[in-house]
Amino acid sequence: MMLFYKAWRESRIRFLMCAAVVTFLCVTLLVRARTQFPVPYNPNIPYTGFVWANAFAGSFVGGNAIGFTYMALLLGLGGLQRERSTRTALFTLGLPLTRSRLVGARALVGLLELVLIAAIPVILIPTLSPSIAGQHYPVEQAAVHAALYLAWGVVWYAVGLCWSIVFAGEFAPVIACVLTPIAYMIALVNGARLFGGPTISDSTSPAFGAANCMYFMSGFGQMWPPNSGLFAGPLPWVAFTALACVTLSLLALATAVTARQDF
Amino acid sequence: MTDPWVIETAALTKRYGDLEAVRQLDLRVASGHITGFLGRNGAGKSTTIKMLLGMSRPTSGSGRLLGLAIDDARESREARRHVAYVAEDKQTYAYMTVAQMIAFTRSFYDDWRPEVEARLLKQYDLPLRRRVKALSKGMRTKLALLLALARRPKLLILDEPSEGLDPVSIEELLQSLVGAAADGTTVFFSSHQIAEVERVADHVCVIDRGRLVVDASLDEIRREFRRLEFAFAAQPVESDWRGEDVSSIQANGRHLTVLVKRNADAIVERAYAAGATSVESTAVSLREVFLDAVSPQA
Repeated sequence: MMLFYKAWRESRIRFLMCAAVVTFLCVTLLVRARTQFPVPYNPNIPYTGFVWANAFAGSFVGGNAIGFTYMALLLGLGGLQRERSTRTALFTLGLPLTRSRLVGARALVGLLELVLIAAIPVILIPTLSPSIAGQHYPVEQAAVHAALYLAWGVVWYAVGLCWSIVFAGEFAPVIACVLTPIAYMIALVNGARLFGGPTISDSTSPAFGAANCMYFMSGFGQMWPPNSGLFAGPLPWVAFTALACVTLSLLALATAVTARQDF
Repeated sequence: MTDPWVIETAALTKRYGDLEAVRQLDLRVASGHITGFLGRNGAGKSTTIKMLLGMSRPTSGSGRLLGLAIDDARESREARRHVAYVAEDKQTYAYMTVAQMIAFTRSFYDDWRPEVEARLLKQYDLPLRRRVKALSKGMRTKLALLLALARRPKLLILDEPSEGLDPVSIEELLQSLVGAAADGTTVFFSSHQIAEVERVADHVCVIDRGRLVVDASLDEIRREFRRLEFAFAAQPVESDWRGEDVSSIQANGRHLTVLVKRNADAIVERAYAAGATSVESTAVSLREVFLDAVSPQA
């Protein structure tokens, strides 16, 4: 139990910062909805479409998905390599614990924090929409969007955790985390051309389906009617399972690397 | 029957690229003793301790801590359950208060002694509500020591425990080590301070350039180690005196100074047989043994 407490104490500032940002974005969205909804230039867009465009897709294509990606990466930082620079690693390693338990406790706390951050819009938007925006937003829709965010969010969390294990010091893992999503999207966009696959013109192209994280997290192409902002059809369980497998593989890799490291 | 050795290594080696930090180390630490682990900076003391505690993987060789394999994650964890360890840095979590740090550490051990915790808190004058990051270096060292000493471990391993302590605190620390040993805990501590080791240890291991160069009890050192000074009628041949019992030889004209590990009487007899005109035998201190063992000529 105290191991979870330690993981929480070491990540809580990052978690609270992320939670504050998401809360701020949700509340400002609802305040904006008071004056900007219905949208003057497109009055046919329903409130669910307005919320989707601003909260889950973001003003920039997949903008909020990018933000959530970086939050997940940020939460993945920390751990024994960071403790090396604060010179507490030997104290931690002197405790009667296996390294896999250390990584496991940290991963569990981090993933729980990510779930809580994803849950903020699910709680705030449906709850506060009637009082602030004077509109109704279905909680099921918010939950579906949170699930789409989380499916890729946990992968990015595991990536952040891996970088924090591979790179020592304060800055190297942060730089790796900043560059990884950019490198991933560049590789995805150009990969199609290199291998003669479908041409991807932007980061929200449906090509590659769930492999395109921004497209998948934002729910592009899944809304029906198109402008409704309502997720139509069954949840992408195959993609959820595949992404969960990727996450578990990355966590297993992080555990194996940690077990072999010298301190 | 319980294992007489709490620490046992066989040809334990650690390489970092071309650098051999620990070389073929055969170290054995007996249960129930206070063993001082001496060596110069970079001699391999901390690397050895880290390998023993599973923090660093041996390149080759093997080791057992409390009879459990040091390179097996589960056995190493089981061993650490009965080992209290104070690292050289003595850093604990800066974001926790002293009380939180104690509660955190206590939760991992069954052998915690609240009465010792209370006594040490009072003795060290540690402020329970203060965050670790706001403690002075000396206070942090005392907290690290409290976290190790408030238990009843089978083995207490300390890496340079007196570093950063004032003389009064060093005295208290040494008393604590003696007290822990009296309670049945085996103590193994590394140090640069020969005087500290001489005061509390009953066994000494000296490591130099990754190799164990001295492994003897202090009684044995006092009894067996001798500095023999010979004067000869003719200039002696230095190489004639080399042998397993001889630690070092210094020749100066017709004079020969030999530091012997054992069998001093036999060497004196040899000297008379070889024409020695005078022989002087003196006891040597741990300092002399150490300096001799780690000298570049050794």
